[in-house]
Amino acid sequence: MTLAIWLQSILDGLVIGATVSLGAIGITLTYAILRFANFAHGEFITWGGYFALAVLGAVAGSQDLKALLGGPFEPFSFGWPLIVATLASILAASALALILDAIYFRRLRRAKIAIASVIGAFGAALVLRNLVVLGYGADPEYFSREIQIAIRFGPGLRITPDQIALVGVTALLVVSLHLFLTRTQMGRAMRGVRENPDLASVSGIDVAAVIRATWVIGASLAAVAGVLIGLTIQLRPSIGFDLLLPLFAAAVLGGIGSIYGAVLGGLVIGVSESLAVMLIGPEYRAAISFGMLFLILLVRPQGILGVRA
Amino acid sequence: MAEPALAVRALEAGYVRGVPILRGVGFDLAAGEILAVLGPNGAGKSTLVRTIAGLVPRFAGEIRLAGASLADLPPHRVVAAGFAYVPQVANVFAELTVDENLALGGYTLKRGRAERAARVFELFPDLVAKRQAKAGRLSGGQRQMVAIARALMVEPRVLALDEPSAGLAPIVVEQVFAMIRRVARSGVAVLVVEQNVRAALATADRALVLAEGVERLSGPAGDVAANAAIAEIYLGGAPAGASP
Repeated sequence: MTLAIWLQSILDGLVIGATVSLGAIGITLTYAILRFANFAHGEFITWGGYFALAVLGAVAGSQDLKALLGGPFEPFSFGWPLIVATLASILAASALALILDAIYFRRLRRAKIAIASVIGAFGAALVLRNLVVLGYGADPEYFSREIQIAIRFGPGLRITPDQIALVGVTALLVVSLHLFLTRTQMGRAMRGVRENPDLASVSGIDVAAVIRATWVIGASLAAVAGVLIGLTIQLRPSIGFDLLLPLFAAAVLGGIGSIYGAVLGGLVIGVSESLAVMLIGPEYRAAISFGMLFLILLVRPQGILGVRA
Repeated sequence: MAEPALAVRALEAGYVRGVPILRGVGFDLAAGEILAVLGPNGAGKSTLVRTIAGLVPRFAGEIRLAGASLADLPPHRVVAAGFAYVPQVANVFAELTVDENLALGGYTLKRGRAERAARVFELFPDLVAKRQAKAGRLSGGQRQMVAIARALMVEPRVLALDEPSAGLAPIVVEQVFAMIRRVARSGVAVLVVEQNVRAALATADRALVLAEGVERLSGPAGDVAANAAIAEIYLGGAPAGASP
C-alpha cells in the first residue's frame, strides 16, 4: 500500500508538472530569444483559461451551437466545445501577447534597463490579473461541474480520463514544438536568433517576425496550460500568479533557454511539490520550487540541461 | 559603362547621431573585382561594411547595389537585395549544424534551397563530411569556410568579409584567400576588410585605405602596396603628401 501512495504522489506530480512545463517553455523561449524575463507570462495562462471559459459560456448559452458541437467525448468531461474554446483561446492569448509586446514590452526592452523590464512586466501582470477579477470575480470557476470517475490501474493507482488527456496533449505539444524547431525554417531561424540576432539578420532573417513567432508560441502554450488547469482543477484569477515561481524555477533549473530543460524542470517541480505535500505537509508546497532550484543550482549552476555560457 | 555591382558615395555613418565614424567614404566595386579595405584600428573599416549591411545607422550618402538603393533597408532586406556579409567574430551559428547554418544562409530563398546548398558544398568539399556537425565544434578555418558558405547561399552580387584572416594560422589564411579569389572569379564582387595588409594586397585588385573615417589612399592593389604613405597611415603619421 505504501508503494501505491508514493507512486500515486509521483503520478499526481507529473500531471501538475505537465502544465508547469507548458508554461515554462514560454518563459524559457522569451528569455532565450528576447533576453526578457517575462514575469507577466503567468497571466497568459490565466487569460487562456478565462478566454476558453468565455467561449464555453457562449456555447452553453446558444442552443444552435450546443446542437452543432454536441456533448462530451466519453469518458472525458469535454467535447468539441472545449476544443473550439481552446483554439479560440490560443488565438486570443497570442493576440494579447503581440499587442502587449507592441505597445509595452518592446519599449521596456529598448530602454535596456533590466530592472525596468522586470518591474514593468510585474506591473503588467497585476493589471492583467485584476482585469480578470473585474470581469469574473475572484471566485473559482469550473469548465464542468460533473464529477469524473477515476480509472484504477496498476497497484491501486488512480487517474482521471481528463488527466490522461492533459498528459497526452502536453506530450503532443512538446513533440510538435521539437519538430517545429528542428525541421522548419522558422524554427531554425528562432534558434539562430537565440544564438546571435545580428548574424541572423544578416543571414536574411526578419528578426522582428521571429520575435512575433516567439510570442505566439509562448502565449499559445500558456493558453493551453490555462485550459488544462481549468479542465482538471479550477480557474481562479490568481492561477497564473501562483504558478509564476514554479514556472521560473522550472525554466531555470532545467537550464534557461532549453526547451527540454523547461519540460524536465516542470516535471521535477511538479513531482517535488507533490512528494513534499506528502512528506512535510501542504503548507510547505510553495517553498519546494525554491528548494529544488536552490539545490540544483548549487550542483549545476547552468541548470540540468543548460549549457555553460 | 555598366552599373557597378556596388557604389558607395559620401557615406557618413556611426552608432550615435552627431558622432560619425565614417565621414564621407565612397568607392565603386565591379562584378568579379576584389576590393581590400585597409587601415589602422578604429579607421572605420568594419563600420563601413556594417553600415552597408544595414547594421549601423547611415547619416548621409548613398549605397547602391546594381543601381538600386540599399540605404535604410533593414539587414534582412539588404541580404535579399544581394549583399551578403560575413562578420568578423561569431560569424557562424555555433549551436547549429553546418547544414542548418547553410539553410539559414538561404533564408530569403523561396525555393531551391537544397539545390543551392549542393552547389555551395561543391565549393567547399571539406565541409561535406561535417554537414551534421555543430559549427561550433569545427576548427577556425572550417568555421570561416562555413561562414563564407552561409553567405554564398543567397547567390549574392556582393560578398563582404570582415577580417576573414583573423585568428587563423598562415596556411589557413592562404586557403581562405584562395577561396575568396575563386568566389570573385565566379563574378561576385568582393569587399574584404583586413588587418593582414600583405595577404589582402596580394589577393585584391584594388585597395581603399581608411584612417579616422576618411579615405586616405585608393587605387590598384599593387600601387597601394608600393606607396610609402601606407606605412605612415598605419603608424598614425601625417596625411600622405603632407610630409615636412
